Parts: sequence; C-alpha cells; structure tokens
Amino acid sequence: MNKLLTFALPLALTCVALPASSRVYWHTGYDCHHEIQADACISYSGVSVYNGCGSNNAVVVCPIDASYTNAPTVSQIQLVATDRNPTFDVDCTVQKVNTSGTLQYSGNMKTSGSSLTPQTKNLFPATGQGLAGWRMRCTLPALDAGNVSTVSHYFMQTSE
Amino acid sequence: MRGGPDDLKGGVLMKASELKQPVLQRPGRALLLLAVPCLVLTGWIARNSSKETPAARSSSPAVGPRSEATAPDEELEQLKRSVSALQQKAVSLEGAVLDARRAALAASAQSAPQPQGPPDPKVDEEMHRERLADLDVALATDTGDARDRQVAARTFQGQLETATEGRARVVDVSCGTEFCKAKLEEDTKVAGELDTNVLVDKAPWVKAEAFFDYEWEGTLKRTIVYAVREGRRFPGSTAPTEGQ
Repeated sequence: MNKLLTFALPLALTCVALPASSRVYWHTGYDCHHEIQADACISYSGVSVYNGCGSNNAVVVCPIDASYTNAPTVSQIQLVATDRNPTFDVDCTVQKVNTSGTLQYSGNMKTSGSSLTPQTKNLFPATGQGLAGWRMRCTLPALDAGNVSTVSHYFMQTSE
Repeated sequence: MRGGPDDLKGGVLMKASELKQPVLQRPGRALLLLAVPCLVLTGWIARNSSKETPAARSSSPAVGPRSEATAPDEELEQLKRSVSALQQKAVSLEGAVLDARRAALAASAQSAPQPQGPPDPKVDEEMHRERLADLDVALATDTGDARDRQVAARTFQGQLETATEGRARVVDVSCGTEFCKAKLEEDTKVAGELDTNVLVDKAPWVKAEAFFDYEWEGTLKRTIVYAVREGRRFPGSTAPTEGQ
C-alpha cells in the first residue's frame, strides 16, 4: 500500500497537472517608463500613465513578465487604455526581442476615436513564442483641452 | 540474503520519503531493530550451550565449588559485552542507513528541476526560425490571385521605401494572399543601423503585425520582414475572426 502511494499518487498527480496551465502577467500603467531619455511629460495618476504635456506625443515602454517551466505559448495580450484625444490614439506595439535585444516580432493594439471610458484592445500574437523578451511600447497622445489619455493596465496570458 | 548492498540500496530508495518519520513511529522498523540483536543473542547462547555437552564437561579439568560459582558470572559478563557490542552495531547500522538516505535525497534534489534562468538563446532562436520557415513554405505554396499579390507587393514596397527614407534599399518583395515578405539592405558603415522601430512606426503593414530576421555580410545588413496584409492574418494565427 505504501509503495502504491509512494509511486502511484505522484504519478497520478503529475498526469492531472500535465494538461495546459495558463498564466497571466498583469501590469498597471504605473510600470511603464520613458523609452530612452527621461521625459518630463510622462506622468502617473493612480495606476495609470499619461502624457502630461499639451504639445507632443510621448513614448513609454511597458515591461511584460514571463515565467515558464516548458516553452510557453502566448495566447493573448490585452490593453486597457483611455483615449481622450480626437486626433491621436493610444498606440501600443507589443514586441518580442531575442536575448541579444534584436526585434523578432511586433504586433499592434491601438485605441480608436475619443471617449471618456476605457477601451479594451486584444492582440493574439501570430508567434507562439512565450519565452522572455516581451515588452510593450506605447505612444501617448498629448493633452487635449486638459483631457488626458492613459494606459491603465495590460496583461499577457500564456499557456503550457 | 538480506543485508547486502542491493537490498540496502533498494530499501533506501523505497523508504526515502519516510526519512522525516521518527524511527519509533514505524513499528515494522523498530521490531526489526529489536529482533536482529535478539536473534543473534539467542544463537550465541544456543551455540555456547551446545558446547557444554556432558562429554565436554567430563573431559574438562576438575573444578571445585569456586570454579562452578565463577563460570556463570563470566558467561553473564560475556553476554553483557555481546549485547553491548550488538547494540553498538545496531546504532552504527542505523546511522549508515540514515546517511545513505540523506545521500539519496541529496542526489534526487540535484536531479530535480532547477529554478529557471534566462531562456536558452538556442531554443528561442530555433523556435523563431521554425516559424519563419513555416511562413516561407506558406508563401511558396500560395496559390492565390497572382494579380492581387502583385498589387500587394507594390503597395508594401512603397510603404517600406517611405518608412526607410532612402536609408535602406528594398531589394526583394513578394506577397501571398495573407502576408508579404521583403528584404531590405543597408550599409551600416554609412549611417549606422536603421532603427527597426522606425520601420514599425512608419510602415502600416509592418506596424500591424510582423516578423523580423537579419543577415550580416561585413557591414552590410539585411533585414527580412514578414508583414501581414491589411485585414488579413498570418497562417496559424489564433486570433478570432473579428480580431479586436
């Protein structure tokens, strides 16, 4: 009986655990930062990041975490952003770079129109590679009549 | 015969998970530990008793009352020494078993999955190459409308030329029904490398979704871009039909 429990139980548990497991890596806009040089226009409010200047668009880079046991598949990336600028959009490009930092894949999500309510945008990357090296690069529109456009949160979902 | 190296090893492996359980809480093991010295002791007594045959007694030198009284004491002392020796052996055996179990656990811990480090660059690169190879096959076997594909190729070439602003030459463009492939060449000695983000930001099809590959020949850099056509999807994409 002991032998049965010692060997059969872990085996059974392993078999049950083998089917695809899903992981979600969730971030707020607060995790985004300037791309290369410090940009005084980039501001934060609560968990959101926005462009506090009234003239030019600002670019932020937002990290995307990844952890894995085996080679994971990226099933979805979701962005929640508020676009209050009628001319420009909150425009986010999701990028996958290799360990040398070279761009391998990019996909885009962007808001449309202008509204006071948050918009949810999804990207289902054509690459299945979920190994590390993902990030999101967003262009934030300038203030429009005092209204800010924000990235409030985003996440990547992987499965193994 | 039990007690050999194989048996010991087998026992260690089978019971390794019980290491944290106190010995006294395992009745089978406690009984075994008690039984072994008892059996040995019984055997030793029987052996010595059998030596004390009447013949032996008759052949032994005559002993007086003092000798008769001393013999049991000596035997008792010998028995005590034997029991003590057996107890020491049992303790040392128990220690050896525990040491072996610890060694087995340490070995299994070494073979267990280690915390993940950075991704293996080779695996990452291989997966990327496999995806690009799939796209090449899809492009080569595309049987879609030839005219539509030619028009798409001209459109894509125009986007790339605008995006690169003359810093790179578009040397080859071909399109399938769903996506296009282009090769850009630039001499990095002249003006440094073209920022790929510029290409992404300024070429609409590249911006929507694209794969990249690179080749170097001295200072000559070739960027190979696979970009999805407007309103289409890459083969094998898991995106819902309506996308966003």
